[in-house]
Formats: sequence, C-alpha cells, structure tokens
Amino acid sequence: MWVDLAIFVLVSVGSIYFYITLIHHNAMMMIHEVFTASGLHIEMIDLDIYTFSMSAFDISFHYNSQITLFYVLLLTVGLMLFLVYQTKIPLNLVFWIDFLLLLTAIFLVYFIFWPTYFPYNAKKYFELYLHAYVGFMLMSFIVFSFSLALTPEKLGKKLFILSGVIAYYFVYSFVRLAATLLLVSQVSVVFVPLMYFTIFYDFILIIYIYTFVLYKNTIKSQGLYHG
Amino acid sequence: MDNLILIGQAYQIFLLVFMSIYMIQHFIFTYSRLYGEQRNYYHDILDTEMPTVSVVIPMHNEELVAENVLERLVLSDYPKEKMEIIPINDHSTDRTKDIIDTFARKHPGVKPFHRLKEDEKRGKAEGLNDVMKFTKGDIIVVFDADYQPAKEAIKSLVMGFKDPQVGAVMGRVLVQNSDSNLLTLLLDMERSAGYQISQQARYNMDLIPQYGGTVGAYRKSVVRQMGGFDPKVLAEDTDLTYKMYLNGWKIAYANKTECYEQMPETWAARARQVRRWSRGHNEVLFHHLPSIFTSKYFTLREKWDGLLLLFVYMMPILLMVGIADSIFLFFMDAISIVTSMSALLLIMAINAFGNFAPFFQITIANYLDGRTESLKLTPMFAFNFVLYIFYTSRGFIDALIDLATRRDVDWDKTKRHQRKNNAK
Amino acid sequence: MPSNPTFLMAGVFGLFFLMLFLPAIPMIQAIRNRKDVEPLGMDMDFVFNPRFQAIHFENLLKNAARDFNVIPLEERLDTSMVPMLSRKPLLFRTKGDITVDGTIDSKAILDAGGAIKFHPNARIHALKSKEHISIGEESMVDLWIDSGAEVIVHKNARTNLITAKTVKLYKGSSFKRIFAGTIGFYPLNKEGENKIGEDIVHTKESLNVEAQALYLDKNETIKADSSIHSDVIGRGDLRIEKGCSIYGSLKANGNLEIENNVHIYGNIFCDHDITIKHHCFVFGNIFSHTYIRIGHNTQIGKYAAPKSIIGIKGIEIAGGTFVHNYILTYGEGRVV
Repeated sequence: MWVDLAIFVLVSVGSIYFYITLIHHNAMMMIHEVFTASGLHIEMIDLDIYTFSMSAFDISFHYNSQITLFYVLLLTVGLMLFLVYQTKIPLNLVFWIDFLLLLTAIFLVYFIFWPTYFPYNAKKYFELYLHAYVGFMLMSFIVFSFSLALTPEKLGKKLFILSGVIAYYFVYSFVRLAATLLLVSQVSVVFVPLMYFTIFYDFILIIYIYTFVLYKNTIKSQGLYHG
Repeated sequence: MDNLILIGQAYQIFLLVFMSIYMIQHFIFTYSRLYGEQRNYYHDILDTEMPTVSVVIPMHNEELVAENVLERLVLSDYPKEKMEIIPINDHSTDRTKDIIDTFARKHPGVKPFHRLKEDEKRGKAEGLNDVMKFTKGDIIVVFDADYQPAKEAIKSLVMGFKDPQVGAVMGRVLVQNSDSNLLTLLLDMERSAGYQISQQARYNMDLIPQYGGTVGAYRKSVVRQMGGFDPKVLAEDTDLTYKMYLNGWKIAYANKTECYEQMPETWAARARQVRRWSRGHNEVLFHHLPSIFTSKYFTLREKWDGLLLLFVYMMPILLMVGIADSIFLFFMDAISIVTSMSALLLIMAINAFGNFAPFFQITIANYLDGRTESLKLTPMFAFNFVLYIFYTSRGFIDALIDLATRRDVDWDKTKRHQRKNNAK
Repeated sequence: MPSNPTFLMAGVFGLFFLMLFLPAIPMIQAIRNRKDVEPLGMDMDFVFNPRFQAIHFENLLKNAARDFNVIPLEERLDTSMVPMLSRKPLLFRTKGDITVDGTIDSKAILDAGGAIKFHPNARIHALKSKEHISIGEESMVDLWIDSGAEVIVHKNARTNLITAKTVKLYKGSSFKRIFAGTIGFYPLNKEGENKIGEDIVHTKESLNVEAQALYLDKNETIKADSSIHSDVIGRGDLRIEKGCSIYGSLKANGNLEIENNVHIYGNIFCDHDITIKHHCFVFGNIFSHTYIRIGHNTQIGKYAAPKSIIGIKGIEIAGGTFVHNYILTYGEGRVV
C-alpha cells in the first residue's frame, strides 16, 4: 500500500508541475483564441504563481448598478426564506443552498455599500484564484492518492484511475476558469468572491469518482472483505 | 486593523493544522481496519460461570416499540437465573405502563420499574441511577427501547467483564430502518463508518472506544462508586467513557455484538439529535478536559485520542468562524498567504466534519459491511455538511449556557416508528 | 467555433455544468434505483456454540443422498476405493469399525458407526463417529473430527476442529479448535484433577481500578510464594514467580510470564504473550491477543465448568497438561 501511495503522490506532484509549466499556458492560448474568435478581445498577462510563471487574462470586472444588486439581494433573501418555509426540499439541501445564497447575499451587500473599497483587479484576483486552484488540485490529488492507496485494487488500475481523474480535473479547471472569466467580466463582479469561495465544492468530483471506483470493486469481490 | 488581520491569518493556520490532525487520524483508523492487526473481542470465550446481570431499558412513551425489545430480550441465551430484565417506565403517559406490566405477568424474569412520582425528574441518567439502587446484577446492560438485540448479545457483552481491567463494554449498532428513506440509509452508512472503522480501530490501537449508552454494559459497583450518572450531563454515555478511563478502567468494543436500532426519519429530527449530541458531548468536554492532562491512568496515546475525541463536536463552530474569517481576509486583501491553505482547509472541512468521518472512511466501512449500490451515495454526505455544522454549533452554544447557568437538561427523545421485526 | 459572445457563454457554461454534474450520474442513479437499502443482515438467533460445527455436520449428513456421492464400506477405506470421477463430494459410510489408509479425496467425509483408526500418513477431509477415533502419526484431517467418545491424535498428526467427549494429543500434533470435556496432552498426568475452586469475578467495591486490584504501573515481578487476594493488573510486562497463589484474575498489557507451581483462581487476560510454565493451575479462562505457551503438567479449568484457552495467534501446550473444555486459536495450536 505504501509503495502505491508513494507512486500516486509522485504522479500527483509531477502532473501539477506539468500543469503549471506547460499545460496551463497552452490551454490559456486556446481560450484566448476562442475568446478572440467570439469577439472578446482580452490581453494575456503573466502571473507569478508559486514562483512559476503562469498566464491569465487582463479583464475589467463588470460592476452592476447598485439598484440591480439590491433587487438581486432581495431575490436572494426571498429565496432563502422560501427555502426555509417550504417542506418539499429536504432540510439538508435547504441548508446547503441557503449557505450558498448567504454567501451571495454577503457579497451583494458588500458590493452595494462598499464597491469602491474592493481591493482586487484582474491581475491580483487571478493570482489569488490560480494560487488557490493549483493548491486545491494538488491537495485533492494527494487526498485522492491516500484514499486510492487504501483501496484493495491492482496498482495498474488505480494508476489509470488517478491519471483519468487528473486529466478530468485539468480540463475542468480550464472550463471553470473560462466560465469565471466570462462571469466576472460580462455578468457581475459579485462572481469574483463567489467563484473563489466555491472552489472547494469541486472536491466533490473526487468523491463521486472514488465511490464509483469502490462500487465497481464490490461487484467484483463481493463478500471478500465482509466482516 | 492590521492586528485583526494577523489574528485572522493565524486562526486559519491553526484551524488547518487542527483539521489536518483529524484527517490523518481518520486515515490511520481506516488503514488499521483494512490492513492492520485486528484486536479480537472476547466473544470466543466459552464459560458457563457468568456474573449476575440486570438488563435495563429506559422507556418514556415507548408503546410502539416496548414489546418488541422485551420479546427479544426474553429470548436471550443468558442463564435465566442470573438475569433480570428491568424496563424503566419513566413517566410515560401512553400505554407503555400497561404493555410492560402485561408482559411482566407472562415472564417472571421481567421486573418493571415505574418512575411516576411527580417530584421525580424524568431522564435517562436519573432512571439508571434509581435502578442501580436495587438491582441484583453485578453488571448492568443497557438497551434503548427501539433496540433489537440478538440472542447472544447479552452473553457476549458480559463476557468482556471477565477481563479485570474492563469497566464497560460497547457493542455495535446497526440501523433497522435503513430502507425507510434516503436519510435513514445515509445514517446507516454513517453509523458503519463510526462503528466498523472508528470504534474498531480505536480498540485495535489501544485508544478510547466510546461507550455509547446502549448495547453496552458496565460494572454497577464502579458506576455507583463514581456517584452514578450526573443528571446535569446530557451525554451520560460519553461522560461514563471518560470517567472510566480517568479511573484506570478500559472499555472493550465488541464489533460482532450487533443490535438493531431505529434512526430518525426526518431531517428535522436528525438535526435535533445532532444538536443534543453536540450539547452533551461538549458538556463532557468542559467537565473532563483538565483531568485528562493530569490523570495518571491515561497513556500518552489515550490522552491524545481522548482530547481529539472531546474536541470533535467543537470543530464545527471553529469551522464556522474559519469561514467567516476567510471572507473577512478576502475582502481585506489579506488572504493571499493562506490562500492555497484555505483551499485545503475547506476540503478537510467538507470531508472530516461534514459527517464526522471522511468520505473514504464511510465508503470503506460500507464496503467492509458488504454494501454495494449504496456506496455511490457517499457524495450525498457533502450536502449534509452545512446542516450538521449549524446544529452542532448550536449544541455547543447550548453546552456553554449549561456551563454558565448549571441549568437542568431535558431528556429529548427521538420519535419511534413501528416496524416489523426484520431479523434474518 | 462560436463567433458571438452569447454563444461562447452558452457553450462555456454548458460545458462547465456538464463537467460538474457528469460524475454525479452514478450517485443520482443510486438515489433513483434505491437498491441495496435493506438493513445490514444480522443473525438474531445466532448463539455461540463450539459444537456448532458438529451440529452443522449432523445436519449436513441428514440429506446425504442428495448432496453426496454415498459409498458404503466394510472395514477399510483406502485410496483404491476412491472413484476416479465424482460430481458430488464423497461420503463413505459404514456401520462398524473402520481403518483408513492413504490420502483420500480432499472433499471426502467418513461417517462411521463404530471406531475409526487411521494408519500413519493418511489424509481425509472430515470424520464423524459415535465411537473412538484415532488419528495416526503424520496423518491429517483437514476440517473436522466429531466423536461421541474419545479422540486420540498421534505424533505429528495435523487436525483442525475437534469436538469430542475427551481428546488426547501426542507431541508434535497440531490443532486449531478443540471442544471436549477434558483435553489431555501426552504423556498424560492422571493426578491432581482439581474439583474445587471457583472462578472469581470480583465485585468491584472501589471507585478506581487501583483500589480494587493490585495495580502495577510498570514492568513488575510478583515475588515467589506470594499470596494475593485480589485481581492483579499490570500495565507493562508481568512476571509471577514460582509458588504464588492469586485469588483473583490477572491482566497484563505487556507480556505475562508465570513460573512453576503457581495457582491462579481467576481468569488470565493479556494483550501480548502468555507463558505459563510447569505444574501450574488456572481455574479461569486464558486469553491472549497473541501467543500462549503452556508448560507440562499444568491444569486449566475444572471438569464440567467449561473454561477457554484462546491464543489468537497461536498456542503451544506441553505434555501432562489438562484442559477443560475449550481451546481455540486462529493461528496454529501445537503440542510440544
């Protein structure tokens, strides 16, 4: 098990290294190309992430009018209250959604009252975002490596699963970054903190995949580990 | 403001370290259960000389389940002449009294104990204390009214007391109504993680398996010497666990001594249960924290585990503060130095404390229990995270108020559902 | 490629949500299908009984004609009587005494009305008889031996589960689980079968463990010829020197060593190895999470009040020792 773990951690760290030094830049070029072709002209900038140089885009955040934000706030609070008083959706999900809505409401209040104090521009924000996302991916892969190492399954298969997960995360990270770019530049600045604070939700992808792997294993070895 | 930011950053790092410790602990537990050496309980001992036993079932308005549990208990293979069954009717206002009295007329080993006086306070701790004054048994075995013990459960639990160092024994709880709805199934999976992995791993590694207040047994004389159960503590079980270890006794965990119980079937009931557990557990934290450091009976690893176990219901409120703190730091443009760390922190949060066990522990526990399709439901636990964090935090605040005011605690009980006996 | 920001946004957000929810499909399926939701199975009527195997054996043989290829025998069973091809497991049956010679089929069972005698080096899966069974030198019975009378296991024979009235084992033989009124190890010591004494489960009169037991914090030795009237709990290794009498149970969190001529009127529990030397006497159960070694001429338990010796990883017992009634190991039990 410990050998498996060492290999998985090495693969995880190695993949993140390639992500930072190679894959990310190429993906950014591609996003740039697609955005340009769609009529969105944005400049590429270089950021210093964990002492490596990574690319991002120089955009300006889309600040909405205070009255719009106020209406959205009313809507958010209304939705929160509705969820609390309805009986159809189970309480655990109500709390979960309300938590997200609460975060949104806090951000809305901030941007209604103190938009001028907002300390981030695109460079600073993407520096923060990429630091967080790269750190998050590395930690996710390492946690996944630990749980995968525990799983009674062949090393080759586990390695294949880990590689698959890493690849999926990489692609997903670019899609998420593109979505963030569009949201903060085209829709609202409120998504700036929201897209940052919801990064950790993405860990659920690891759990989905891990549980499915173990489920597949039970079909094969039913009863073997029982007791 | 700068100082505030500094405190905020330091808090994030503190929380990260604290949570990493829990995460590593759960990884070690899972490893121990899968690949480590398993410590056997004493089921295999064959001995006809058994101590006298009083089986106690605290009941308050249990008309739906009272007869089931008594029927299971009279079927026990424990020597009849050495066992008495004492259902405690604790101020029931429904048919519980009639049911247990009728049952007792048919079965001479069943001796009901009615607590009906108005000046008596209702409560599990009070009931157990009263019973200890007159029971004949050297060993007290406790079952809750919704439990369905197997034939050999009592014998198996009592066998542990042949070991002179054992002060209490805990069996394993299985959820009887896992097929009622998604909630009960998730709770069943959560229970598996707690018993199949955490409890057994703690027993394997000579740490602190918890006495859970039901499907458990303890030495009557020891608990009486301790002054019985404290009626002001809601979690009399956790309290007993620590009192036992503080006095040099050990708790043995019997993973194969299984017993069915009913789990709450609505989220509101579950939330109340979590809040109650958190309140009781945190009361124990306030009571016993200093003595763990000074007790000479705790080994170093027991101290370590004892502390982690005590703080477990305090983590959610620390986490809530952590989330608020990270929002504050974000808007102060001061999160950058802890930014990647806070991502890690949140991963840990969702895993380790959304459901008191990380996702891999839940999945592997259920894998060991032979579950298949349900393993795919593990991600659902991530959606319980906010509910749990909220209600455990409320429980913590309740406990703080209890500490400040020394107010009496109420014995809230989980709603029962009548079910067919699904013994296989 | 999209040429309009609206298309671009639709595409990116679509892909974003797709990638976020795609891995959730198995979970959603599990919620919808609601398979595998029954409570975990538990045998409510299970009662621990080491004779379970023997009872199971009885039940198995009730439907012999359906489940087995039944072969009637006279006085002898050897390899020549084993059919070349058989779809069902073999069951050899005889009403009288029988001798067994050679390696019989690995799934074969022998059910005899009379005594069974093994030649040296024979091997069979399981044996059942109401009479005496004798397992020859270097022979092997893979699964179980059930006898209504006595079982004798000769030198270097290997057995698994034995249920019988009495079992006697010669040096070098091995076992995993034995349940019998008396279990003896050659050379037999016929003397000193003690019928007095009781298993002391003390009523604990004090709050803490230290006040009700002799509580030893570190590695300790109890000096020769001491007499102790309480339980003894050692947090480290514990050594009991010769001639001691302990009227209570023993527990050691480290290793436990008991020297010659020690009498213990209680149970012995140990987290590590238990070594009991010669001519000792234990009334209670002996339980070790690892190994148990018992020297010669020692007696464990008393007749008609079953006590157990359980060494999870292994047990070694020397000649002249008597055990009432139950021995179990998940490792290997050996007579030395």
